Amino acid sequence: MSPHFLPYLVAAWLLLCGLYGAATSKNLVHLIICVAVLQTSTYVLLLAVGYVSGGVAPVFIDAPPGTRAVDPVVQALMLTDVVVEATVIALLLSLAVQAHKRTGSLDPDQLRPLRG
Amino acid sequence: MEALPIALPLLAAAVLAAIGSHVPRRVSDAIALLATAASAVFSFVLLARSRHGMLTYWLGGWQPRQGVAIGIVLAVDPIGAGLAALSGVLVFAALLFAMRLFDDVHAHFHVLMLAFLGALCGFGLTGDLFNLFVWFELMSAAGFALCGYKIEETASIQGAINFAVVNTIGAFLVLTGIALLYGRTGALNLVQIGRALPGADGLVLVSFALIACGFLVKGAMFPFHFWLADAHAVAPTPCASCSPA
Repeated sequence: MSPHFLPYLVAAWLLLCGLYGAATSKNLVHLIICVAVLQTSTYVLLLAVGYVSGGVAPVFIDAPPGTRAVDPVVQALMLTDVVVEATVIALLLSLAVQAHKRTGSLDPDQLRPLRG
Repeated sequence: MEALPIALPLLAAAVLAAIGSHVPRRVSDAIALLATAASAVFSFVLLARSRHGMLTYWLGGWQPRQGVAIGIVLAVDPIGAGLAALSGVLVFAALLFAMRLFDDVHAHFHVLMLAFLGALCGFGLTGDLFNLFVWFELMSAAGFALCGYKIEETASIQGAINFAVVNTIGAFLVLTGIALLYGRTGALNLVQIGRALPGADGLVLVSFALIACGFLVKGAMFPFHFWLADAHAVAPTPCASCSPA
């Protein structure tokens, strides 16, 4: 198989791992880490989309214009993605801390209000 | 002018986040209501002006060169401006309602509502696919926090966690779709993507399916609606009234 496809396979694998973990999780922290794993698949995918083989970092201070460089746009997208998702993961972890304070456990099933 | 419905609520949110705990409740209420009303009024003005054709505004003056757009554009059409105006009116009503509903409201409630409104307006007015995702995530993050506002109740935490996890997974699907579409077309500007796509082949269909799935999850459309009951049952009424918008 061509090594060119490898990053896309890694991204798909991470996406599936994260989805499977999030769907079967019995622990809130585990669940949140699974969401974070799911998120890393988008990093790999974005960087793979913009990669140019043999390209340098897109900084043209010491390289003449026209040098082969990787796509800076996807790197900007990835950085934005990191910032956005750090917010969401922090918010989720703070909710998990609150859940642990109220119920004394991290099992999502313990959070359901009692039904008669 | 085109950016005002987005900028005013976000600016007011920043001001309230800085001074909110030092000023009396009435002052933060007044600032929030004023910013929301101004945003709604500007949205209506945009709605009236966009009837004769789409208005465009390049953020930071990054104009496209030789047909290639690097900067982010706000493209105001009647539907987008109408959505922004509707959100402005809804958030205004919710803030008015919250004035009487919550006795011990803190300034961060206003901050979250204003950030939510700014994101909704941005979502309606943007003409850039990745920017759409960013507003979508800002809206979601403010929504999660509002949904878990009554943090002392376990049901509220459960609803907020469900809401947050399902919507975040939806957002990643959107982002995966955007990345694939960018890989195919080399563009993030919606018009430029439309021009670059010759027709629907397999990759475009997959990315469309991913993007549509993500937005349907957020919109709680039929097969993806299961998070909504948990979230709405526990969200404070003024927040619940806005979240489907």
